[in-house]
Amino acid sequence: MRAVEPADMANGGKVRTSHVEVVFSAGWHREAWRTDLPRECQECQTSCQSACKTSCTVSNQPCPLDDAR
Amino acid sequence: MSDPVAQGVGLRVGDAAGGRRHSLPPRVHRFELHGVKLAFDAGSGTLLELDQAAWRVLGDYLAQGPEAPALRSPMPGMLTAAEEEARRELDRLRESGVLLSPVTLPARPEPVLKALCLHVAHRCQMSCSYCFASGGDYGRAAGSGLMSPATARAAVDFLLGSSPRVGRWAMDFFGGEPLLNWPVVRETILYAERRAASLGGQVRFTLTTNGLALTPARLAFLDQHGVDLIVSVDGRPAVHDAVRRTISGRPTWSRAVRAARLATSTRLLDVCGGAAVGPGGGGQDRSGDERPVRGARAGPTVWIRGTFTRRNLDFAQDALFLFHLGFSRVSLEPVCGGPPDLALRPEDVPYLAGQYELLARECAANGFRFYHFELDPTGGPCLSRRMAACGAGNEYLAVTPEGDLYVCHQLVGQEEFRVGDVWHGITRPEVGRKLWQHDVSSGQCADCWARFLCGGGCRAAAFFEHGEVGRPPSLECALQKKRWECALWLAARRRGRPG
Repeated sequence: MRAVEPADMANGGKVRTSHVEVVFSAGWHREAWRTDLPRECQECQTSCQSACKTSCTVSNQPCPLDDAR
Repeated sequence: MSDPVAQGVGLRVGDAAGGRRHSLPPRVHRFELHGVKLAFDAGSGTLLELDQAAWRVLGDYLAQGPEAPALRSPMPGMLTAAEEEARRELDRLRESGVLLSPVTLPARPEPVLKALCLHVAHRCQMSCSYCFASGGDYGRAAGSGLMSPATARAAVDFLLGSSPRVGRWAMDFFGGEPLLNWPVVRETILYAERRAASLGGQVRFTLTTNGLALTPARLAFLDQHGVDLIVSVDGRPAVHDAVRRTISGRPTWSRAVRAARLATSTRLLDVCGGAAVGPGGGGQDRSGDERPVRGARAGPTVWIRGTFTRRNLDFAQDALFLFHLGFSRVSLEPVCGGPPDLALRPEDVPYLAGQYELLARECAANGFRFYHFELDPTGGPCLSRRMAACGAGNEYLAVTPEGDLYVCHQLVGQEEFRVGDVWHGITRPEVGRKLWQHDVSSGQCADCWARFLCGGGCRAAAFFEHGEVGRPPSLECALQKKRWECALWLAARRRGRPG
């Protein structure tokens, strides 16, 4: 058994310990503290879920925030 | 990529720098599916796979309630050695912020209109038994039922003029059957492209069709302009033809599938299993690897979308039927209302849940893509955009053929949800504001594990069930939670695979 270390989480979010595996972590709990939104997101000020879209309809790409995570 | 654990350690509710509203308590959903034990942390968006020891320890902890301070051993000797190990691992995850995580809600920005659903035709060649549009005219039966070119241009001007800084807009051609007004579809695409380009932006188009009037020439135009397609097919021929017939009563399955095959023939990424191939002769295997095949071009998508009713509660068979026809992207939606013999009932939920579970297993085994299992938790919207559902009434509006604006396509014809028209703009802003107030920060959604996955659910479904938009629709809510469980299970199954 070994404890979960920060380096584990940095490895694509995949952690395997003896008893628990982190399949993924979206990190939503950290977003409330964000003050460094990319400029395009600040200007966008829209909801990506409009019209039932599930990704950013501004860039038609995954949300730029993902690169900052 | 930054280090998430390092970022998470030491944060406290109340540290937020601006934009803070309030915090929501920790919420963990622990569930087992197909023999896999999983826990989803609603605050951080973290999915854990647990072994038996961790499953039991976490279960005991959750039974203590959300106020329990830590995953402490209740008494020395109460846990086995394996459970004590699991307890320490889970506690480490809790300390690092990814388990039992409270979350401070970010402020939601003021909404900006960026999407329109254009009802270019309130007419249809079909008369589907469950149609929420009452055969295409939404019970309005006004005028010709076809949007004029002038009205369509005014709609484009209204959208782009409402949010000129957005730069990226979305328009969905809907009906009735939009291809019955093909000249306006075509002219509107060309006009919107020119107008958007003059502002330095672009419009992304979607067209939802029954396929009966889809021709190679029209498809070529839609391909050229990157229009995403949604083609309606309900699944097995008998299921489809029982409810989807022409006005004169003729079956439509063969024609709809022919149209769906035509649409996928030019959109290579949506064809799988070797039952159909693209122009380059490529295809896609069933391994779950969704990477483009050599020579394929990235481009507009096509989804095969159907509806299931009380007549085909075994809807997983319809989805699998479509997958095995060669369509790799399929969505089947529970019928919205409908006559009593078709409408779903609360007592159907357990059986329907089993159907979703069956479907998830098939998706994992064969690489099929079922729309409601496409979770993408780490690549989707940010938290502020997960707090509410579709943006209806604010970021998204529907336009009737006459130019009236409604908060969404499903609520067209409901007078209380009419908010203006494309010539005068929004004349009843209070309607949109009321919808915007409903998010997951309060009410029963605030305490739900799926709060940031569904954003509170469909407001139209809530209205049709409760007569108000503020309460989540109960049947849809139950089905959505099961779909999220299946999607999370699939994410666990697919991790580490390419693509």
